[in-house]
Amino acid sequence: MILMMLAVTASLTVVITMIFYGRSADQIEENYVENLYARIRQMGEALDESLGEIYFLTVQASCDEDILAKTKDYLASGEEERLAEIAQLLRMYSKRNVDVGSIYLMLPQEKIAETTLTPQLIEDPLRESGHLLVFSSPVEDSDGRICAYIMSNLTERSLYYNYLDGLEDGKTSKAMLLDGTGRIVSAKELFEVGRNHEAKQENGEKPENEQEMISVQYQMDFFGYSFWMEREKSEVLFDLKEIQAFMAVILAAVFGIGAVLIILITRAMYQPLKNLTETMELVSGGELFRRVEVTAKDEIGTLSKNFNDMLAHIESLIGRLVQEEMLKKNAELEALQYQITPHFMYNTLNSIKYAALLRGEEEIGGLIEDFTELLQASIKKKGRFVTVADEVHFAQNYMNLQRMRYEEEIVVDYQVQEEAFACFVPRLVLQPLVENAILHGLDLKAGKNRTVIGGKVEEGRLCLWVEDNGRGMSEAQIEQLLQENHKKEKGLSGIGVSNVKERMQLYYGEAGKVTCVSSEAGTKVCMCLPAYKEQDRYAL
Amino acid sequence: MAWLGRKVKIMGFAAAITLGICVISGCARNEKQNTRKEPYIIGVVTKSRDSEYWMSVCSGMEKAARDYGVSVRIVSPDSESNDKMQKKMIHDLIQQEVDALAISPIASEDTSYLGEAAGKEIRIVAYDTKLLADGIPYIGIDNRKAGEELAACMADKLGNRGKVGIVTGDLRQTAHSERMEGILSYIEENTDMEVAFIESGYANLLISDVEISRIFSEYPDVEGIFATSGVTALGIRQYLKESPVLVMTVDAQQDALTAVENGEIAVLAAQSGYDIGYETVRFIAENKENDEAVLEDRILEADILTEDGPLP
Repeated sequence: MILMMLAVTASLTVVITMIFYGRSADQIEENYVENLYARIRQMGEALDESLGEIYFLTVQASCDEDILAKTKDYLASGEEERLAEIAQLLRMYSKRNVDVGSIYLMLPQEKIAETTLTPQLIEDPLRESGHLLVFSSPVEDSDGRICAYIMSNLTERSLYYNYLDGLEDGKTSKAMLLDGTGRIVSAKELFEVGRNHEAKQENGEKPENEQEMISVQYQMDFFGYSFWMEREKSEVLFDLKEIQAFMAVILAAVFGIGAVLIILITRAMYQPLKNLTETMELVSGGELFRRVEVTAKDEIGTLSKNFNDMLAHIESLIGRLVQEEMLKKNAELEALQYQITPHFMYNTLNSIKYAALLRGEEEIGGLIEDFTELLQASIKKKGRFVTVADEVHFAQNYMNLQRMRYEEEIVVDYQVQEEAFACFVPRLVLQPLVENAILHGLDLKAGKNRTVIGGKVEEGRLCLWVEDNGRGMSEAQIEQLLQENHKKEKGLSGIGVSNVKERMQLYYGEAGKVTCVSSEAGTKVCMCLPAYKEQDRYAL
Repeated sequence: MAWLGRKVKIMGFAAAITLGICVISGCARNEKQNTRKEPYIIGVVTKSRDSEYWMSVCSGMEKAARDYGVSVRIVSPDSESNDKMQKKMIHDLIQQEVDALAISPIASEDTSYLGEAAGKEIRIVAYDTKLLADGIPYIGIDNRKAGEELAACMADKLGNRGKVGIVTGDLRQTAHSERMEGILSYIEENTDMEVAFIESGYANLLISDVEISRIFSEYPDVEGIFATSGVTALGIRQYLKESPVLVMTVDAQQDALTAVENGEIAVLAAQSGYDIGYETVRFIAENKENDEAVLEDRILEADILTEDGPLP
């Protein structure tokens, strides 16, 4: 991870450095060009002004009435003295500008260059070699006839030394003065003067394809002349190399500092993470008591603390679970202990039963047997579902005991179909209905002592009912019977009709129903449920 | 494996950022414009180059040239009377094939060069002084109106009566002739004042004491003098010293303005040389694509200044 971060940092640093280097290089080159441009512009403006001044004095001299008069005089008389006077006047003009080499009066028969505002480059007419930059203006009399020309001359060499020489320093640069058409007006090498210069460009710009040289050009406002200058790029590159070295040092320093910082920061971040990972591995190996050492308050610190809290919580949950398990086991042990007592009771009751039979008390023996069976059915914990046959048998046992208790003749008519006997029902659902009929239905004193216990299977449903011919029940009594929720204190068990109804709903849902119909002729409580013959089909 | 995937993702992200930086920085590099259009060149001919007025005209022109991206080539004769030299310079600029020519003519009636300029499709504009030719737009103040306003001020100060004199510049220049006409027509139509004398030919040259002395000995009862040029007015004022004779003129030079503040010059119709120069170049630059159109004059306002401040 550290290596990866270092790699990312290094690549970013290199890229940023390269961008800054590129920028700096561009900036240096741009500044260099601007600097060169500023220099030639300064020279250009100075020359422009000077040329403007020479133009002015040339035109002024050509309009000089004195010169006109003396020229006309000379042309008429041919007196040399006039020429000397004209020369004197022209000297006065030439002294007004340092760049003016000479001012001539050319007589019209000597045809010279066309007169314009822009000076012309001509071969020096007096000397065999060398060039002159000439302003000329015609001297006209009042009729517009040209008597002569005034020519103000600048020697090419004076132009070079006054303006271009200062721009050239050393062998790495070159400067030229070009006219509006790109012809070289002045240059260091004399043979170049008058030639066309190829690399003519716009002001202040350098050609894109030029790799070795930087060139700049300034075109003067007034005369359209241009200063052109080029310089070898290597001079600029010297500065760039310094920048390169500087950038390399900066790059190394930034990278070094960055690397140290990354290592320190990563360590600081990584150590708590490592602790956390190790602890997690130990905990997942089962050592729940392990805890992470929390050293910081950052995200990892929070994570570690939360992990520790989670472990503590898990430990407490496990503790509670163990505790509950132990309590449960204890309860089961206790329950086993309680089961001993009924066995003893059944054994004792059987002994009494057989003692009674041995003495010929068959009725008492039978009653004791009924009671024992009923007791077993109500206390027995295993098997929540029994067959209808068993249920009917429990009801018979109960009836036998009740007959003995009330000493009255209770007539029970069993109308259970053979098919229904094998079906399963929840244990002790019939006895509460029979009990209800005896306790609340029958009116033994009035001779209403008949009870019917019925059962049948119809369309896959089992219906069991208990009917009496007793007092009958009001609607309110029926409702109380089915809804009453309190624990029953009378009778064989704590189980009432409402309990039967609840159990039917619990086991069979909508399919399990208990209904009660009553009239003056008696009451019929009926329960319906699915008919089935697998004991635990509806076990919860 | 998941960790490896994340590594690849991070590396990819870093690479994407790097590439993005490179692209952005590459795109942000300013490529220098490699070509430049030929500038529109306006040749300018002034009347003179030594007075403050003409220097301010040139200053206004150069500023406008910078503002509107044109180039000006200004030439000036040595004095306001050297029409020969000015004409040569106009000729040279036409030969130079400038795109437009702004002229303040010394001789308003001389239009001989217009044909030559038209042949080279050079637009001619007159500024400061009108050129007496059809279709040549003029940029400057309304000189006739300036003359009328000066005359109105004089009439007000003298109570519509008394003798006044006029010293004008070269009457070949419409600036001076129109000012004089304005003065004369106002006096004739609206006042009982009498114009005792008209001396012409003084233009931006200090009138000599001998001349002034001659004038005042000939017309001792003159109460007010109009000078169509500020320099002339200042020369007269210098001679008059504490004399109560009122001097009124048209100018914009700083010394004339100071003379108004000091009360030496009673009323000055001030034209701003800078504004005239600026407006001239602006006028040409704004119409440079509009070669065929006949352009209207652009009249600039002249402020009438007194010792107490500008008149509304």
